[in-house]
Amino acid sequence: MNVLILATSYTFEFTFICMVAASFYFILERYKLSDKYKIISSLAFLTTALAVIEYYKMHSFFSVEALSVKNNRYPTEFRYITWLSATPIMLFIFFVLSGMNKSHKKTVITVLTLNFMMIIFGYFSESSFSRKNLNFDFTILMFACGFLCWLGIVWIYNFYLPKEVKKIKNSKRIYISKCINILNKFVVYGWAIYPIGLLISFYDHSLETMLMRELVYNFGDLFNKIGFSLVCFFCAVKLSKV
Amino acid sequence: MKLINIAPIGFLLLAIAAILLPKDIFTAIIIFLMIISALIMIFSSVDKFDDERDEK
Repeated sequence: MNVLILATSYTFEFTFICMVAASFYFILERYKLSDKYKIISSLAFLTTALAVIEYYKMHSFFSVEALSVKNNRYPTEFRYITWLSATPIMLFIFFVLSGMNKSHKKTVITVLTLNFMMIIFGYFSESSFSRKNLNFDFTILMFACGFLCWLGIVWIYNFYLPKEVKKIKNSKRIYISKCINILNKFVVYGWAIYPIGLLISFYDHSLETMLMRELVYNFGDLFNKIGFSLVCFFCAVKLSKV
Repeated sequence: MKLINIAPIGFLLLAIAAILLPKDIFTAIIIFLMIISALIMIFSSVDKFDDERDEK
């Protein structure tokens, strides 16, 4: 038995179980939040619940038997469809938490547009490479465009939003500031895992390389979706007490 | 030297190694270590929400 196939298959099961557990957590711990911040619990639940549906659909496809079949086309579309719906929610949670969703509408629209473009460019890059229907220059161009969009989000979360948070004039500022200081690390290091996964898949068209990409995406989803939502949830718990 | 200080360099080196090396179980271990280094960088500041620390 190929150890890599086994490891990849188990990470699908593991991620699926963790996403279910996280979804239950956000619902069961909802009572800790004040009425104003209950929406954070709902958004965090949506983020992980969408991943539950995605992994439920995919984990049967990625069973050990299915992964052993050569030239099998992986349902990457599932991932991109879920990312299209889950990542805007993840990014929007902070704006709701800080109350900036009303005062910084242009920033919200910019972040969500960059996020949408990043995923679309990423999909074209990945699908053009795996289907071999376009030349490699197009794949790299799409990758570069997606990468630039990600850098835009990194800039907003690391430089623009911390500055804006400092302008908040109430006692909640300290917790919102702590929250953005953790979230910007997620956007830099956590989200860097995805372009790395895509670059790894450019190595060749072998089964091992495709499995490696799935492995990277599974770990990325696991830590980013649950971690990002948990940090926002903990911050909302703190803000509910202020 | 604290682990947090070398984690970003480790993350970068492991990422480059994962991209360039042939894809086998050894690369999977490199990827796992890369994720761990990312986790160290992110979660080293999570104790900021610790209740006891706030009270002190």
